[in-house]
Amino acid sequence: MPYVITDACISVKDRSCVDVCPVDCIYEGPQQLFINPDECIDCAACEPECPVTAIVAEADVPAPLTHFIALNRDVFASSTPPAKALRK
Amino acid sequence: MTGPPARETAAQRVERIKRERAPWSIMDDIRRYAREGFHSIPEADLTVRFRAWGLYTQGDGNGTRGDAVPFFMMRVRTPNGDLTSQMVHTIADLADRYARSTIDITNRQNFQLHWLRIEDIPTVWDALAEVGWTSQGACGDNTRTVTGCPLAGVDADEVTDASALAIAVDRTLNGNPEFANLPRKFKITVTGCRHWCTYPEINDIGITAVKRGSELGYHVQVGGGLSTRPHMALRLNAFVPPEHVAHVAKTIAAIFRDSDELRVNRTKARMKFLFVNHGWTAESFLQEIQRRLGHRFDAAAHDDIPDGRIRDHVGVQPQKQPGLSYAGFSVVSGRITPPQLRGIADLASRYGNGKLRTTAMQNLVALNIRDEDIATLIHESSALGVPLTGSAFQRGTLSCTGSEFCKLAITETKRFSIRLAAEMEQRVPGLNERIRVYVTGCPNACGQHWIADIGLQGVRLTENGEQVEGFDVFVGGGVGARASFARRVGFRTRADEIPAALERLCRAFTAGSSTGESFHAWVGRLADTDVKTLLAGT
Repeated sequence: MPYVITDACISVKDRSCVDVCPVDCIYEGPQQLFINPDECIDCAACEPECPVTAIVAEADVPAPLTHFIALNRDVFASSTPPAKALRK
Repeated sequence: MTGPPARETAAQRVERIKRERAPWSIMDDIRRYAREGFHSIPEADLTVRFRAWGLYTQGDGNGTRGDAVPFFMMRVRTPNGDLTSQMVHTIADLADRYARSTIDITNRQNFQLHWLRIEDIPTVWDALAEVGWTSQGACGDNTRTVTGCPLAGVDADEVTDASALAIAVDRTLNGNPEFANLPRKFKITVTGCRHWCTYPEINDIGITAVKRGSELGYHVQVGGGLSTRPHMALRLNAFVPPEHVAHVAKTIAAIFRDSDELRVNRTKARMKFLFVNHGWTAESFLQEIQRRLGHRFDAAAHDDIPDGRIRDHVGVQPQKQPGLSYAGFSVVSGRITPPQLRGIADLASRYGNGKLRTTAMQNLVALNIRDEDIATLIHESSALGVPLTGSAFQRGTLSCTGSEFCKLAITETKRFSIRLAAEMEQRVPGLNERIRVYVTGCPNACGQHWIADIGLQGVRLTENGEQVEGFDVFVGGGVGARASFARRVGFRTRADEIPAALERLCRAFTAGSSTGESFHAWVGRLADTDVKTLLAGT
């Protein structure tokens, strides 16, 4: 069960999560960061690092934000997938 | 009974399974599964309730990338690390017969057997029971093994022998149905060690002996823990008389048990989150303990906080009893062979009274060795390959289980850390400072990298399209008077490049530290970027 980056990341993109991800599964889009659900190992290291509480375990994503689960997956199948985010 | 909801969180699932049937109630079922085979085990038992009996399925060697295999790790609960040579012989024989001779000493003073088949679990249990040993409560959402100083009762410098109290707290809580379903694991140490060798700072409850004048009492710390959100335990302003200690421990366990707010998210369910997320303070926590007990404690006495440097009790040292010494064997990363175990057990019987203890540094201590036999013991032990006087790196190295067996690990850690200790001895010979290098295979921090001088946390790197194992480097962690969590300095590299990076850092320490300055103090005055530059050699 991967972690999901939700709306609070939009225009913030702090990238503290990128520094701690042990498998480099966080990518950077124009507006926000994304976690590749096929690469995430569910270790939870990123979750406490986010200064805006944007990162949530997939099963715990609140109802109004559940579309971010699909967004974090679909963006990698799009014609313009995000690139690996760089550590700070 | 209603079935699980359509969208069930990990916490909801575990809580439902624990509610549906108490995990400790399935011992007879496990014996039946042993007759009927691995495939007869229901998923809810295999993945939740087995843990309350100290049993995890092990991984296929690929850690988080791999799958579980039909073999088990069994953790054998060893309160205060208390052992007899008969127990050590028993577990060595079990390891040879059922565990492919693979056995580790853990940093909570337990043993872990690997490669066990379900068919063999009852036989192993029965053999353990014959020497007064159990795996009950060694994993799962209950009170884990209560740890305590391996030198309790023999250390001339100790505040008091608290081992009987540690074992009493263990027996009060383990197997007690009132404490069968806690929100998460619960770790307690009770110690009279002046060096706090069992790390009360990172336990849910850390109980340490203290003297108020000539009066013995105990101080209590609560809410320590590591993982992805490290938190040093908070010290309660209370002087607890010895006769109240078990009640206080039980009351704290009850507060934790009753905190339903912790049962909604498995990653935020340890007791520390009462303080991190739910507004509790050391003051309000103490008030609640006193309210439940109906008793007010005096304010805490003056505490001599240990300097945090030496906590391993390795080597031969005189005991408080005239004519007797203890012999602390340095087991790198806790990995030991059955012949080595038998050898040490035999030495303990031949030259002592057969009493041994495991340590929180994954070592083994033989107690009550007669002074006139020390020279012979040292001579005979040299053939075992487990030194009594480990080098600086050998004594300071500790690791988690790693991807060899753990399903959560990102990297292999046991063999890596043993190789690393040996290589560092060659690369930086004669280093006087004992630098503690703790290796952990993933962010869950079972290898305690947060409190190490140098902490290595496993990562996976992608190089030229290939995935390779690597480590993030942390520096400057400490406990006691040096209490601080290690800093991630932004240096991540392949596992095979770590020895050269650490050599550069250690050589810079030797060249750049002032006389008598500890590694902790030296690295504490460097900026992260400077440490990163030293590690990278650029």
